[in-house]
Amino acid sequence: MSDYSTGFFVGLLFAWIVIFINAAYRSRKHGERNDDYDERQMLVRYRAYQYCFFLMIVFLACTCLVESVLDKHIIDTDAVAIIGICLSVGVHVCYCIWNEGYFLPLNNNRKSFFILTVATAILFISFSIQSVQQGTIIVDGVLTGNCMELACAVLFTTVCIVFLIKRIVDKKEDEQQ
Amino acid sequence: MKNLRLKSARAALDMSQQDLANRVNVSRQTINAIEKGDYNPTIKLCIAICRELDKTLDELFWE
Repeated sequence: MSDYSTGFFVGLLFAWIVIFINAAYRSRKHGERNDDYDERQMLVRYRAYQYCFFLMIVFLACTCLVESVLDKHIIDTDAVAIIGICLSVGVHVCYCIWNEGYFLPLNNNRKSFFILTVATAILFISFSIQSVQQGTIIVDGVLTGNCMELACAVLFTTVCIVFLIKRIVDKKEDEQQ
Repeated sequence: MKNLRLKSARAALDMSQQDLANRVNVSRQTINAIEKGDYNPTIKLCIAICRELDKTLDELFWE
């Protein structure tokens, strides 16, 4: 990662933190209803956690099974962890977005959330293109921990797409009302 | 199954989904889900909605 990329990454991380703090401050100051989930949102989040937990278990089991069946090392431990985390987080976030159980304090901050997600996705896509060009993702037939950028790029791009589709569906529903 | 009685009671008071949601302290999407029949609210929320719409539980939620 170059100095420029690192700076960009740190800046983006800082923007995420600012968005969260700003949203939390606004909710306290103006008493906006985004400091608590309602009963349906809690149910949605409960299901989302359930799905991501079981997905993680299934993913780890499958990885172990494939490696033992093939009797060959095909994926590094850190790659398993990264892909597992990205999969779980992706399922959780997408399920919550699709069922309107947004994670706090972003309920009333959707535009900022979307812009930041797009920026993060673009950043990770550019990093992953670099990794692919350097050929560090798969070394000697083994998927290495350098797949982190690619996994994060896929994660953030998927979140953006789900968010966008949900907005379109919501708008159509609002028009129908 | 859609809850058309809730929708019509809300519309009769010229109330939007957001208005009702603010009054019963839930999200607009939750009211929308109840009206569409996608979510079965707890008795606590049913009572809160009935109070706001000045209806009984039977009138809004009983089959």
